[in-house]
Amino acid sequence: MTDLALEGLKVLDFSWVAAGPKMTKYLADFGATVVRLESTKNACTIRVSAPFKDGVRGINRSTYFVGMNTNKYSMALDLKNPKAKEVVHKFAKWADLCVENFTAGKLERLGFGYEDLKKMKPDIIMLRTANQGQTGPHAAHQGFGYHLSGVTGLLHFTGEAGGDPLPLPVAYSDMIAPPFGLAALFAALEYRDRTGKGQMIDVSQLETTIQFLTPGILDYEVNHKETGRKGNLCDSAAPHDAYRCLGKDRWCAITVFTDEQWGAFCRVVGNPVLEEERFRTLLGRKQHEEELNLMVEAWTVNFTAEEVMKRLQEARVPAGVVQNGEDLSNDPQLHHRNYFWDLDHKEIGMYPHLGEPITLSETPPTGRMAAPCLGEHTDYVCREILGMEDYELEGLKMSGVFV
Amino acid sequence: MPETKKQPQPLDGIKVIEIGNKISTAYCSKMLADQGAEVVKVEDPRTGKQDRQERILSGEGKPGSLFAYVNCNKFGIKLDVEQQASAKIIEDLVRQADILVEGYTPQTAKDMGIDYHRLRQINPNLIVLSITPFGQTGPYCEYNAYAINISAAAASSLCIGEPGRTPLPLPLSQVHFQSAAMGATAALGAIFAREFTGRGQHIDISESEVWMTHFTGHAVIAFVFHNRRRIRSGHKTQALYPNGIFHCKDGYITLLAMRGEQWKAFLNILGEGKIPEWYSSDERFMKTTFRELNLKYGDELEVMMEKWLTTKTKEEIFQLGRKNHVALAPVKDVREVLEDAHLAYRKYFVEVEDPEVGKVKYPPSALRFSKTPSVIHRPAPKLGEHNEEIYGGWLGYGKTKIEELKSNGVI
Repeated sequence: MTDLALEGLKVLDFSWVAAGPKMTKYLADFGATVVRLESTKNACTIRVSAPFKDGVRGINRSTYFVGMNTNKYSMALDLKNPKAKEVVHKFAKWADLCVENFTAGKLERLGFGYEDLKKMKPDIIMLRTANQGQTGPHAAHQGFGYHLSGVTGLLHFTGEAGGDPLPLPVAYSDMIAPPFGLAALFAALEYRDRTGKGQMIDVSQLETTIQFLTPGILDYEVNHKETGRKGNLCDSAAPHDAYRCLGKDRWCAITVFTDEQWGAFCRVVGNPVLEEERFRTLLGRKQHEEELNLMVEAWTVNFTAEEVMKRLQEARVPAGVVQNGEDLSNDPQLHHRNYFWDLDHKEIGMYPHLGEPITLSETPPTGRMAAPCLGEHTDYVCREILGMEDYELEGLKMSGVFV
Repeated sequence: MPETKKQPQPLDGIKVIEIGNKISTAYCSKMLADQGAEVVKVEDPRTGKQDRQERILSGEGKPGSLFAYVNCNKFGIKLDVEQQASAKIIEDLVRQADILVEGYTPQTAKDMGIDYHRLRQINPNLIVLSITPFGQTGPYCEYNAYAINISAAAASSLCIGEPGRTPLPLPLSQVHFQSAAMGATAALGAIFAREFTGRGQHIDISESEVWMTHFTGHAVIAFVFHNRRRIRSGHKTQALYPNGIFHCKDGYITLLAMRGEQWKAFLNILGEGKIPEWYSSDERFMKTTFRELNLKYGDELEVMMEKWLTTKTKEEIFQLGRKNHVALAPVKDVREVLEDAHLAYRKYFVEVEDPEVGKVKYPPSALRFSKTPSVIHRPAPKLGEHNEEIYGGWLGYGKTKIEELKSNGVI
């Protein structure tokens, strides 16, 4: 077996829903020991939300939950039980890192804020990612990634030119926080190893998402222009759109930025009208874009989207089939790269799991365990990780803290 | 902007070489530079000037503002990798470096002499990070693709747009930014691993995989487990209602009511304290379950909802939502984001003076470390600005040698 990149790294995971669990999933997939603290008294929203396997409701049957929680241990712990402090104290002493994504202030109220944990373990690194950060007038707002898409301004840019803003099929900001949070954790570990100091990292999902809107922000600031919604259009490329292909709701996205790509595109399509002077330069193509797009589509509708992509890519013109979930699960590129992991989940059974988009040549990520059932590893974690004796474990069990 | 004195940073002492002219590679190494790494951006003396202004690296209108943003805190040198003399220079750079970031498809990287196989022989401790549209292996590995191609191939676009009309991408090159952030994370993970494996490694990042791992897992799950194919449904979501984006007096608001009691609370907002008359007096609505309302009467309800919503501003609706525990939030434009009170309290935007672009507000590093806050301490380098500092300082080349390389057009 190959080494895992993060072997030996110990992570205490208070996180729930999406942003936090996605972050700790990366850590776990690359080899860190991640212990998720959960309770049936306040189960993770994703655990109790549809869709469920076979449509049968159950705390271990959410198909979204299994997608975000591989390779982790689940420890049942009721944080509101008076005995919880004793257990969390043991975890804090054990852990290098702690990750949480509750609304700001919630962990403090439970007695497990950064200052509390620091007392238990002076050099602990704590990563916190709340919707709008740990401080400021909106810090205590409950929120969803769905809303942050609007609050950050992202939706202002999403939609057709002249049309209404359109929602995204995902809680976008939840998935921006993980890479930033992870980069911060590694940087903080480097710093701790050099100086012996831990610290708290505050990742605001609002702020990380705005990072990616910089092109629009700069346009406003430097050019005094609200870019707004432009659909598929791009000022510096034409064609630059998704085009209808053979079949029902089948499309291929095609982009032509350079003259070289335009020349190759014309050779593939073989329509002499495209070679006329008015289409020769980018400026000309932008001026006659509507006419151009009709001609492109008149060609693409004759072929399957896969055929259009293949013909264009082979001539070095960037193109991509507008794929759906079924296409992805059959995608030859993904299968060649072993992107799907076959995992066996206790209640859900065997299923193809979306692996990681990062391959490290010496220490690749692996799918060792499917997502845990709630509290599946409570005994194991208490004995093997926290080193509890039988009497201690029994005493805590009696107190009802492990629920 | 004057260079400010550097505070201690987490990545002090880590050396990074960046070769490429893409958002993905530039933003990736910017994230490392923001945490203190010494990043050297290598640009082509012949096309560098053009690369700075063209295509995806320029903001629209005034060229170069996006370039200035994604390259602050870096050093810049010129190097023509196609000249023979550059092979030796790359070797010298790589011997010094911890991380090399590049964004070329495998064959091109090999032709340029920056493929991992070659570089590891020079420096076995080096971490090479390759960010490409489809990864280093497989039938598509030589395919080229931009943001909308990748958003399409990774199954996002099909779910965004009006029903029956063109599928849409996420705007403003989101794919490249995401891949960049994953790249920075992976590079640091590899630095961490190097401490116990004692060696570097090659990191292969596929932009399309980054996208689907983060955003289209649900589409695969919907198909694999539930045999459902998601498609786009305009401004409201298909299943749950009344989730969507709606008109209000001064723009748009988003509404998310996932449970029956939230829908009821929202109706109470609409009726200003009670269920509105038009709803309570209509048996069809009253007798339909929360989950079926959308399917049966979605369009009709929306007309009535918007009748009230369009009399109120985003802010008024947002405050009513807060008071009544209904998740309502504004869709902001850029000006509103720049003026946001919460961001102002947290001192989010920082004003910098860039020699090319002028005074401009940047989103800073979004990572807030309690002990080692990140700062923008240097504007983006001018083309070849740090030739002397890097070739002389890092590599120890003498004045004559540097002059000779310059006059031959190598650097």
